Amino acid sequence: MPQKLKLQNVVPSYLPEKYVLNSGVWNQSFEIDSGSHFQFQALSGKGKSTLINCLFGALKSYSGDITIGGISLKTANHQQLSSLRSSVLSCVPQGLGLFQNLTLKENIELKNALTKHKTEQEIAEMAEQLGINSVLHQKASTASFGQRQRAAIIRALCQPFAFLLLDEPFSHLDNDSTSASLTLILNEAEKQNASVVLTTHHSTNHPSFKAYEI
Amino acid sequence: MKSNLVHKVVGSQYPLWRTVLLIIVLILGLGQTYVSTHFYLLYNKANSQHHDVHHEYYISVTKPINTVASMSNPNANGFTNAEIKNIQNQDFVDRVGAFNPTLFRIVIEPPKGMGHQDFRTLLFLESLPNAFLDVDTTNFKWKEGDKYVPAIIPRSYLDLYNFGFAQSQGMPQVTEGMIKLFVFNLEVKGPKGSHKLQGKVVGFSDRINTLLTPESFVNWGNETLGSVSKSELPEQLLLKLKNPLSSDIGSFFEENQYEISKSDGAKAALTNLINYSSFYVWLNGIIVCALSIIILLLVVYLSIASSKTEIMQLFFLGYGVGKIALPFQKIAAIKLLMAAFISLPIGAVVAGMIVKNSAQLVPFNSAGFQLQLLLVFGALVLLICALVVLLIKVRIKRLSV
Repeated sequence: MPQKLKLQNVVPSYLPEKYVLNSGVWNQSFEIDSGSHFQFQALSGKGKSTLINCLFGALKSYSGDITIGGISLKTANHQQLSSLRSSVLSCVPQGLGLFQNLTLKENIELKNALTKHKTEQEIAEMAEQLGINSVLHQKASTASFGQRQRAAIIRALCQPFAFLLLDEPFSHLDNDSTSASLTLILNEAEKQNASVVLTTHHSTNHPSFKAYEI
Repeated sequence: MKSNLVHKVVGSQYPLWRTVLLIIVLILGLGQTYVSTHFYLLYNKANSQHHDVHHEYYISVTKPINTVASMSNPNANGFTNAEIKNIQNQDFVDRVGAFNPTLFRIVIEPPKGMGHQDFRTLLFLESLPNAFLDVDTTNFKWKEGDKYVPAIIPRSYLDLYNFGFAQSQGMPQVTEGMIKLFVFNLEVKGPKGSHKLQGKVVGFSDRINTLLTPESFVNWGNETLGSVSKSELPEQLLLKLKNPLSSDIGSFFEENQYEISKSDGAKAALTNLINYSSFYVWLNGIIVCALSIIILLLVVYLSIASSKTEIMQLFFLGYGVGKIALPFQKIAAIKLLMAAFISLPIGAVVAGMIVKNSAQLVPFNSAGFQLQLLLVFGALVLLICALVVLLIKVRIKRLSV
C-alpha cells in the first residue's frame, strides 16, 4: 500500500539559523512518495543525520511536523513507533547501531527474527553479493567499519518497508562495494515499491535519485 | 532464537557477584517475611481459639478500705450512681457492671449424706449483669418458687479445693461435672424472715473472682428478707475496657482514688501489647521484604540503565516494550522465585525453633496451619513477582519515549 512521508516546516531546535536559511529541506514542506528516491547532500554539520533521525522518529526536538500515513512521528507512542519501524520505516544510521557483542550474522538475525522477512538463504545471498559472507560469524566489534556498514545494510533490508533511510551508508566503502550495495538496495526497494532516502557528502550520480541540497 | 539474542544483548549486564549478593538479600527479606507471617498467623489462630482470653479486657474497681470512714458511714466504700456514670463516660471504658451484694445472711451446708455433717458456714453472694459473664448462662436463672438457687463460682476456687483443701483434709478431689451434681442446703435469714432453700453450682468463671447468683434472687432476698447490712451501694465494679493501653486509665483511677485489680490491668495491657507486637512483627517482616524488593528493583534498574544504548537500538529495530522487558523480567522473576524457594525451609526451621516452646504453652488446633501459611506466603511471593514484572515494563516504557 503506497505511503506518504510528509515534512511540514521542520526546523530542528538546535540547528543554527544560518543553516535553516536557504536550505532545501529545513523549514520547507514536501512529500516523499513510496517508490521515489531522494538524495540529500550537504557538508558536515548541516544536519544530514538530524534529518534521518527526524524521519525515523528518533529525534523529536524540532518545530513543524513529520507524518507517515497520517501518524505524526513527533507524537507517536511506542507501539506506533515499533510498528512503523518493523513494517514501514527501515534505517541504517550513521553509527550503524550494531551490537558489538553479537556476530554480524546475529545482528542481521536479530532484525529478521522480529520480521521473519528473509530466509537464511536470502540473507546468505545478500551477504555474498556484498562480499561479507566470510566474515558473517565474526563479532561486530572485530569487523572493519566497511564490513559493518554492509551488514547494517543487509539488516535494514530484512523487513518490509515503504521508506529506507540511509545515513551516509557508503562512507567507508570502496567504489565496487558502494556499487554492489546500491544495486542491492535499489532492487529491494523496487520489489517493495519503496522509497530510498539517503544522505551523503558526495552525490551518487545515480539517475534514480532526486538530489536535494540541505 | 530471537529472545535468546535479545537476552544476549541486554542480559550481559549482570556480574556474578551482584547476582549472588542480590539472591542473599532476597533470601533474607523473604525469609523474614516467612517467619513473621508464620508468627502472625500462628498468633491469630491461637488467638481465635482462646478468644475470651485475648480479646476482652476487664478490670475490677474498688475504693480503698478506710476503717474509720466505713465505721462512720456504711456507704463510704460504695459507688454512687454519679460515680458509676462518670466512670462509664471515660473514653477507655466500654461498659460498667456493678456487683450487687446480698444484704441478708446466708448459711450453707453440704447435702445430707455427704462430707462433714457439722460443716456450716456463712456465705455471701453477689449478682452481676449476665453480659459480663464468661459462662453459659442458660441455667443461670431464678424466680421465686424455683427448686434451686443457681450459682457460678470462680474456677480457681475449685482448684484451691482440689489441690489444697482436699489433699490436706483427706477428702476426695472433684471435677466440675461432679460439683454441678451436688445440691447444697441454703438458709437465708433477714430481719423480715427466713427461708430454707437449695443451691446448685451451674458454672465456673475464669473472669469473676466472687460467688455469683442471679440478680433476681439478690433483689428478691434483699426485699423480702430485709437487710442486715447498712451498706446499700455496690462496692465493687467490673469494667470492660476499650483500650487497656490508654494512658488515661492510671491517671483517672489515681485522681479519683479508686483501686484497680493490678493483675487484671496488667494482664489486659500485656495481652493488648502482644496483639500490637504480633502485628508489628508481621509489619516489620513486610518492611524488610519491601526493602529487599527495592534492592532487587534497584539492581534491575541499574542493569536497565547500563543497557540503555542497547535498549534504544532494539527500539530502533522495531522491538516493542514487552519484548525488550522480557529478559529483565525473566531474570528478576527467576531470582525472586529462587530466593523464595531457598528461604522457605530456612524460615520454617527458624520459626519452628522459636515457636516450639510457646506452642506447648498455648496449645491450639494446628490442622491446616502449614497449608494456610504456604498459601499466604506463596500468594505474597506471586504478588511481589507480578509487581516487579510490571515495574520493569514501566521502566522500559519510559525509555521508549
